[in-house]
Amino acid sequence: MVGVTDYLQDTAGDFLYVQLPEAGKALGAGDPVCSLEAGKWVGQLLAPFAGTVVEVNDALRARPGLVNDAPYGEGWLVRLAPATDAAPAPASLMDAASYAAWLDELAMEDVAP
Amino acid sequence: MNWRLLDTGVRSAAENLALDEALLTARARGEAPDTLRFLRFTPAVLVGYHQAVEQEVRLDYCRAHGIDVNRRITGGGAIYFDRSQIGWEIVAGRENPAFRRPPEEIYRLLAGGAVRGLARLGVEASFRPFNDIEVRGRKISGTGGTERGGAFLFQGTLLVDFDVQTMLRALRLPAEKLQDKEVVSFKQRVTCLAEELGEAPPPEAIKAALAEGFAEALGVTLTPGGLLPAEERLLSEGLPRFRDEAWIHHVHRPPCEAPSLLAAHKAPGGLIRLVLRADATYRRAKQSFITGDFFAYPQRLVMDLEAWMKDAPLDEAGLRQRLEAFFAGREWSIPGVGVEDFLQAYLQAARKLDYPRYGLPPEAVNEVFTISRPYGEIGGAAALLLPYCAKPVWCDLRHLDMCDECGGCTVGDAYRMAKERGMIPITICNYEHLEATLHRLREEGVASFVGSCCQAFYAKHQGDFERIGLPGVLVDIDDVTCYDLGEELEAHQGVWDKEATLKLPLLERVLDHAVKKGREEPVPLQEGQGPRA
Repeated sequence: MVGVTDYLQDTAGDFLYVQLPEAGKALGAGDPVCSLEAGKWVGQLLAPFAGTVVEVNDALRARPGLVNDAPYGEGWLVRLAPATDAAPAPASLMDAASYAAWLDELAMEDVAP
Repeated sequence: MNWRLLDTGVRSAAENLALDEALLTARARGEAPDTLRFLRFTPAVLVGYHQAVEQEVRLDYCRAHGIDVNRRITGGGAIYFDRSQIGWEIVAGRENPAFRRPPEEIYRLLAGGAVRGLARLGVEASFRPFNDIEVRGRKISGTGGTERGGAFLFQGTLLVDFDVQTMLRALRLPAEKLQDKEVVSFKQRVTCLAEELGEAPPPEAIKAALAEGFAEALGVTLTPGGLLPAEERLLSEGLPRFRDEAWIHHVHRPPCEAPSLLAAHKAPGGLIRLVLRADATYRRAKQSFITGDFFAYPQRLVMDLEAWMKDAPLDEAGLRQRLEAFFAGREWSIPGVGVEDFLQAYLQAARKLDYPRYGLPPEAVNEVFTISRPYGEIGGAAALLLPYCAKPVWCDLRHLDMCDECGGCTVGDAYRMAKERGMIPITICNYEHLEATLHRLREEGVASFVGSCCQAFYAKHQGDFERIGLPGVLVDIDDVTCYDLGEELEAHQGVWDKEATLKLPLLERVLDHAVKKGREEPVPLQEGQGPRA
């Protein structure tokens, strides 16, 4: 299941539009999955690994704000099935702890001269 | 750091937008340097990436006047570009730590380049969140952005010599009738270099000033350069797509899902008139247009409020939060008008989003005014109140509370419609008669009433209707009213010599709704009425 992080939804602001792909669409790693718009900025969510869209969150068509309200719950975007020969290498994805550490690093950069 | 200064001259919308994508893609692939680009357009209307053309653009007008219509790859709202306007954009990589901050800080930093450039031209402008550049509250530049891989594109427009008439005709803005008053109000909200400086500087001087501003704000050196072969190749590959209707009309949403909703709220300090363009699908504000006869300090307060309310959610809690946040953060005063009054105006407009669910045509929601209750909660109406001025001047019964339904005017038809539904028709002869009638109906235990009057009468007596407190629905009347003619005194005295016309089909729909006992459940929107990508 693919969505955005709480950090991203918080800094981006209210999501006004979410454009979802059709279920069944095949994606390569790094291909745009769907687009989101907040504060006049259009962002693309990129596929974290090669795979197929098996389900999209239709609830977002009427309520894009769910992405802000519950990024780890009702605000999920799509369900991706990894291509059999391209199961996500764990090393290429961060877990919660390493993401938090990465955010800390980002915050350090900000205050660095 | 060294950046490229790229000037792509005057081009069509399709070419300019295909170039946006080509430059961004080349930068994301590491095939191009960080760039400040200037661009100009042959006349064009551009919608934001997720917008629907049919909701934002008056296509017939654009076709008839040779105005290109296209879709940007960036977010934000629809804009009109004439030849004089100058577009600026930054295409850069994210690896620069300056661009790895939260979005709002990046917008402020990037827009800061344009602000410094304007200062060099002698215009004191500032960044206004979320994404505007303004001069004393009046917008001079709008911005938007997007990203691909590790690169982003942030762009803005600079109004040089602005043709507000064409903009109002090419775009669907909250000014449906294009009356002189509306045009003047729009002009007050937007400014341009020609207006600020007395005359528009030559394009080269403007671009030079902006380039210096961006170089200073970003701490970079700009070196003029042309398009790279990789970019030229991406441009020619991408151009057919930007010329294709499939791209331009990529998002479909019906125009009735973006209605202009009118509200008039009488506050002690004056009347607040609000025209709210709303997104009915997502229940959010698009543009607000606030006028009235109150005195606001500072003068720019209302324009800042309009900008602040962009995209506001249209439920009571969301509106209250937005409005309170706006007024809490600044010094302001409007004698006799409080935050609650703006909230009431917004709620009045927002409730109209639900009217079509109760059988009202979407184009008629502004022709119906409600008293004490939202439209959906009005039921059990027992009386129909009709204005004497809708009877002909020659009618012997014009000033009497009776009608022989001779077929000579719309009032007779309305009497028949009321009787068919078991309601009592009443001819109202003046305001005092109206007040006495409403009090009497209330004492008799009548649940609600339906009436017909002009918008001006409703606006004038809104407070009286609410004070008396009998729930009701009022249907607007056609034609020129005594208020339009400045003859309300004659009308009040019963000597007005013109005849108004009732909107019978609309009145009939309202009667059918209001006569039903108890609350009616809204009809749920059907599948397939949401936006289509």
